[in-house]
Amino acid sequence: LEPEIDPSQLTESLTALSRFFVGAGTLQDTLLRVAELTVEAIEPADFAGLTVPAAGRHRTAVFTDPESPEIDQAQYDTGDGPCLAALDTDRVVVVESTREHGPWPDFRRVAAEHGVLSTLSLPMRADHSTVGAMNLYARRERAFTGPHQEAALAFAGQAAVVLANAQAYWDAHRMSTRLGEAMESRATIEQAKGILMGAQRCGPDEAFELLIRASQRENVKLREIARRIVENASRRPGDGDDDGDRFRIARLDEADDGR
Amino acid sequence: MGGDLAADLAAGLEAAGWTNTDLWLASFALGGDLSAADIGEIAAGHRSVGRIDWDVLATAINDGCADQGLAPPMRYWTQLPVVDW
Repeated sequence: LEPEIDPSQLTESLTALSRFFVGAGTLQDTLLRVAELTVEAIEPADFAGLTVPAAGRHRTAVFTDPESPEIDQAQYDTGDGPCLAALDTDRVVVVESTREHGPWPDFRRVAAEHGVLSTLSLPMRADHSTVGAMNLYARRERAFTGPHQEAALAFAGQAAVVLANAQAYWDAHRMSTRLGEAMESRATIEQAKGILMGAQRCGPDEAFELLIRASQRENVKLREIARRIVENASRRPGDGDDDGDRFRIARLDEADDGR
Repeated sequence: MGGDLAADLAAGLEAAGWTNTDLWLASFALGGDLSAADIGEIAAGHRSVGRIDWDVLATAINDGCADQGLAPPMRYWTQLPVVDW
């Protein structure tokens, strides 16, 4: 008799997935929760891992058992294996028995050495692109039957949407943070240019060139030069070396050497 | 001003490990006004670039490389070779 899918468990896991707020944890947290829910939903799976392409390479981004990345490494090393095939072909790939001869002998051997006797790899597709692959591992042969494959494929589809949303969320979050930092830096540099324009009676372009030359001469990043100028200019009389500061601003172009 | 500015910029981007968007953000932080699309066109050799814009891009890349502990790969405008046509 083929083991059946527990519909209530699958529904419960799918519901948990649909309620997942991607901003509640890091991207890694989201991926790990997806992998955990997968193992809960697809009963024959003893553990799971998610393969995610990054910078032209593949890596097991998260796993519910440390054996998963060790097994996956065999396919990353050879550039071929069931989860890479699932990613490349966008199809479900089943290894019914790692003890039997077949494609990906290195992967089969390493998996069998770890006591994994059958695997199921599924593409994770969202918005017409494959965002990763879900890999399920079982310690018995022929663990993943047709109904399991169908259930896992449905689950992988939902998980892919969560993964794509999480990636989009964190990409936007990173961009927002970087933009905030950039605006802060830009404001400081504009202030420094204004101070130089007043001190040197020059235009904004000339003020920027002065900053560049000071940055080169002192081997200090331009934003740091600007920060010092603004800091010095905003000091009240008696706070420090005011005459010296004014002198340094006035002589920012001293090493110009007539270029 | 001569030399292959597009190749210089593309090489600078590669040295920093940056995309056009990374460079756009860094140049925006310095007060630059070029868009990411403008930067892409300059790197592709489809758009000319003036002195200030070039120096903003060069500074952005050089400072970005410094942040990563890398040597500055970009020449500033006054360091570029003058080519007579």
